[in-house]
Amino acid sequence: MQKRWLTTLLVALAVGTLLAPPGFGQAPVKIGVIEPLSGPVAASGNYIRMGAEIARDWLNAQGAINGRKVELVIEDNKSDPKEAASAAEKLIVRDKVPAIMGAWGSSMTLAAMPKLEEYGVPMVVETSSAASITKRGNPWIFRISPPSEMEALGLEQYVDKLGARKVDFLAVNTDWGRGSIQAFGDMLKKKGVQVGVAEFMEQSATDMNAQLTKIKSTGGDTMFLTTAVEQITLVLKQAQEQRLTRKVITTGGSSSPSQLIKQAGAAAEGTYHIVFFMPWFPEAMPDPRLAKAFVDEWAKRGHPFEGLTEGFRGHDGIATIAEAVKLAGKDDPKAVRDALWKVSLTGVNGPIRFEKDGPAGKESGQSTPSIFVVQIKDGKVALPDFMAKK
Amino acid sequence: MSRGLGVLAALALLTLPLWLASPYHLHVVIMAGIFTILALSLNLLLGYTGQLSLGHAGFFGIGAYTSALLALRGDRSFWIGLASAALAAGLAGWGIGRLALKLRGAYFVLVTISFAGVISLVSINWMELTNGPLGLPGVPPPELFGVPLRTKAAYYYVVLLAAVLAYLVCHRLVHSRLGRAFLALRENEPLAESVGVDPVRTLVAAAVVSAAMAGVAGSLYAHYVRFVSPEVFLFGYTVTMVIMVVAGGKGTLLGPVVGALLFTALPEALREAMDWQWQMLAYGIVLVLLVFFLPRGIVPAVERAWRRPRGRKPDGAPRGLPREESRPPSRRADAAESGATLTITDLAVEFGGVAALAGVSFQVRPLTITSLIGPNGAGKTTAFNAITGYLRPRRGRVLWDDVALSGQRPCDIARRGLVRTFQKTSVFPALSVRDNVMIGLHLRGRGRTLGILAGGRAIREEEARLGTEADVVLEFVGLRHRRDDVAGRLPYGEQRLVELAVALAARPRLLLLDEPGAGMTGGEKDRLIELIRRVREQHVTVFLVEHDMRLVMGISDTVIVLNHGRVIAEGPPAAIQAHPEVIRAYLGSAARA
Amino acid sequence: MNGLVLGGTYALLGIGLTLIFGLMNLVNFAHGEFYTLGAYTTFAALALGGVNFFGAVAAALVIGAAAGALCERVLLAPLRDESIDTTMLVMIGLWIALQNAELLGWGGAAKSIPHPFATAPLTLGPVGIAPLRVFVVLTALALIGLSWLLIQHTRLGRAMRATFQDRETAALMGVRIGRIHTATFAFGSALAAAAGALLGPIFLAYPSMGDLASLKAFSVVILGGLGNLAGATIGGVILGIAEELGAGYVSSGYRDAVGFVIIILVLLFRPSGLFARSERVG
Repeated sequence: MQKRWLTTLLVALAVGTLLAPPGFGQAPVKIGVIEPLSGPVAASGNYIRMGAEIARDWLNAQGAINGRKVELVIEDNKSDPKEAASAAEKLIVRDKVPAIMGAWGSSMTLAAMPKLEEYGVPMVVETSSAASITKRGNPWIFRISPPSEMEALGLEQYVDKLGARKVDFLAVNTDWGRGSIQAFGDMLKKKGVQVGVAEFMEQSATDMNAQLTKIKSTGGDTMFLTTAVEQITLVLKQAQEQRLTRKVITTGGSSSPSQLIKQAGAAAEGTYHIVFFMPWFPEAMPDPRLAKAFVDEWAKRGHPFEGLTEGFRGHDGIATIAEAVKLAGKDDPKAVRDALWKVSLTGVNGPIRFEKDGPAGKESGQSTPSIFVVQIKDGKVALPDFMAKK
Repeated sequence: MSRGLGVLAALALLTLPLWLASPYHLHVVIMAGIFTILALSLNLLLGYTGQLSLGHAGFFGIGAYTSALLALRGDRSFWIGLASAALAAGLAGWGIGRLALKLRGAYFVLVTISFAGVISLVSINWMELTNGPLGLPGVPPPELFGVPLRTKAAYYYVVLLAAVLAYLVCHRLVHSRLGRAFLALRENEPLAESVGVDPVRTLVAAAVVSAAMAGVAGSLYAHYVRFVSPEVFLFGYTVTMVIMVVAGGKGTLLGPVVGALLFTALPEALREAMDWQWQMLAYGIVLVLLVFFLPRGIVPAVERAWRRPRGRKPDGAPRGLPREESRPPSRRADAAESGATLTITDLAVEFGGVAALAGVSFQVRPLTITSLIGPNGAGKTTAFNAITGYLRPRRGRVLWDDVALSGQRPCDIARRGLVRTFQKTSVFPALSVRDNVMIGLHLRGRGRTLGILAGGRAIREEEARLGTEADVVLEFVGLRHRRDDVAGRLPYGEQRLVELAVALAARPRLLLLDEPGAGMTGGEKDRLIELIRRVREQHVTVFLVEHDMRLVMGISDTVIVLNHGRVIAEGPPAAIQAHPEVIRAYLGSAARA
Repeated sequence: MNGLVLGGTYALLGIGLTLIFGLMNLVNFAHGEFYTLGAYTTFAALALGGVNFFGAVAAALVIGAAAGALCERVLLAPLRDESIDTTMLVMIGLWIALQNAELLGWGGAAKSIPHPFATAPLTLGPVGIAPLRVFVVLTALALIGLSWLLIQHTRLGRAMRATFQDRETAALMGVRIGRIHTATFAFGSALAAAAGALLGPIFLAYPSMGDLASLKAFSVVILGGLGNLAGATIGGVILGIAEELGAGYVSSGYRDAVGFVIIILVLLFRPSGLFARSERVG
């Protein structure tokens, strides 16, 4: 009985090896992915997963990495730092991945970081914005998302054109929201813009009327809004009900203007959004062909359009790791880490190249992503006047 | 058998890092260890005192933050952090306990939820201290004699040690007078109070120990994950602890351990077994199924399955009739001390404007058997409740010699030697007869929380002494053969004897019996009468409410008759039987009934 | 004014939970999931079923009741004699399973529920309020009124009250406790679903929306006293308004703390809830 089973297996294996395309016989290159796939921010985590899967399929269709297939090992961190640490441990020890992409929120990334150091495995950080991540002297960290300071710097050139004189802040009470207020506040003060109040809302809060009332009383002209798209929708609707007339600028790149148009309707009219990908104008992206292809592939898979502004990060993260493995010529974590310093490619967002950040001797890598501003005009996403003229 | 198994388990635990090849598995085991401590700590409250804390993540988080802040800002060692974490969390437990344990039940649940919510908001908003939502990265690993314990194996031993200590703490507490007081409050609070268990004090002690243990787990967590953020206060952590305790088997020592191991391993096993999108769904379903098939938890179910085929007999105590010559529990034969008089002056109680007692005055003289009788609704039990502190009278005074009892709590009154029984049968139903009596001996022990945790000979000797005393009491009421039976499953008459044994164990100077003979058969009543007489011989004053006239008239020195909340007659049995107003009262009530 | 809108829905949630809590002695962690269910049912009926908005809200009510009844029959009825912790654990399991099933079925992205009301606010003196919010308050009040009638003036309501006061006696008087439990749970769930259907269009529908709802509902129950319908109603409104005002005067970061602090204060000074009559002890 057992023997027959074994024979069958052997035959199957033999046939499989014969029939398989070149490269199939080799072990695949595994890449770990840690994202919040359940819990309150599941939507965003899943968009990134979808983007990562597109990158994987494209890579495999184009001859994989040196003939070896790419395989994603996806783990859910449930928006819980403990789970992020456990997932990193599992990916490194059980699946022996040479590199990880993750882990969305800064808390999750920070919790996973000691594991990277312990085992010596690099992680490409695709979303987290806390400045401290690359300042801690963890030489296994490579970030492709902009920390808030970088984002604020990116906006600096447009401040005058936006015509902001007195701004207030409304942000989600997380590392991201807090960090964002800090960074944008500093930048604006430097530019001589008056800064009014900074209000916070809990991640799960649905009613922001009280905060809006407070902001209304300051008499400013602009409101910076930092939170996930769901809360932005609610804030815009409630601001409209309160007849709060402000220029609104959302930061962080997760505002998904398309979804806002759909869900907030007229309340979203005229708002500005900092984004890192403009799927409405792929031709305006640094690599128009890649951007267009990504948008088309996304649509072909039936993924919702509004997920694109998040999903591209999954693609860029995986593409970065794959490039590093290619350069290293093997899927050894240390070799991949060394190769990450040499990576130079253009992702959906734009050029990805890592520069040293943090204490000397054990620097982390930080890329300088492209930053864009779009505006919702007449129920459509448009380039703001000051950018369109360029 | 169980010893061999224990040695084997200990060996396995000690050598675990040697044969567990994958550091990932060791990681899971370390997390399981941390959660074992948490589950044990929650079990102390939920399983033993019956109070559900849904704010345990709050204590856990306080521990984590205390330890992390001391390490990062104060540059203190892990060990100081660990101790401070226990202290800080214990202090929080004390505060919450003082605040909420007066109320208990659902209210305690809500205060603990609110507490965790507020603490979590503080951790998010108090940027200067906690770095807010950005969290505290870079918590250092512990050091031992200057050597950092960086490796997983080393940390494993730290966690193992802590978990074993936590288990021992629970073990010691549970098998002490304090642990019995926990159970007593869970099983029957009024009865526990009647023998001197102070509910607030006891529950606060449980809350403090439990919170301190959770704080230790928090500190271990902080130095292991090496990052602390407000997410440690997530309600989800509390839920996980509850799952571990209840699914493992609350109120058992091993239950939380099994639960913690299982429910730390389960999500990781699901990670291996299926794609991420099914994991949490499967987790929920497994949980529902588990509760459905093992509603009392895993450990109790296994114990039951284990016991059934073996049909263990309780110890070799001879079954059958108690020896009549047995000596009753010895009171200090200090007649002067025992001879206190209970004086009731103008006692009045109202319920919603209706007077249950309308200014009653009488005396119970020392070393007598005094009966309080009267038709239904005359106010007899109300009088008992008012005397023993279960009811706050509207006016009037209760004096025990020259000590005013009015306004004191039942447990304080019990401390003065007034012990009562209840009209409805009232035992600690889930506990053995012997444990029932051991709770009755609560005031006879002096072990305090810290002493019990430290162990030591004095505590062990006291336990042995209390055990002997319990057996003497059981012998006295003739329940020796029921020693290890579950009290709630005894026949009615024997349950009443258990009640009496519990009260006698508390060594009353005044024993207040509320209808002790109700529901007893004729033979049982004869034995009861005999028992009451022998109790009095031990310099105990007996004051009883009873309907059975044969019983009352047979043993009483004095009879007091209540009707419509007033004393209508008082005197020796013969006089009462002939008293016209008494006859009218009884006939009247019979006619109306 | 916005406090009133919030308060109305908090009250709906609270009434359902207080009945379940008080009558069945069940800590219902899955309560928020019925709220989520209500929101998603409305969304489905509108987007997929082509029913109009009011029909969709009604559908949410019906489905909420049906799901509640089913859940009680299948999960809770067999465990009726078990301890409160055991049933609580089942509800925790159900909560986790349902939430992740929703995630699986609907995806994590929030759904916006369309509604037929104008978005421009109505002006009432200095305050503006959206017509939708007016509709929500009115419907919530109507539902609360209906619940009141049901509890006070129907046979079912009498049986429910009797069971709440003394289960054994009620059973002896011929009340079928099993049925009452099913009805209570279905009723409570229907109210939660209605709250979800009403708030869904104001806010958004997403899988974890129920968590916050559960928490608020528990707060309301405590404010009002266990099993106290009027208490839950007033408690809900108070909580809603307190949160609005609290956030205005205190730092908005501590906004959710307002509810918690109120609970702790209430427990300290009025342990049996704000509106409980003093009970007889002993």
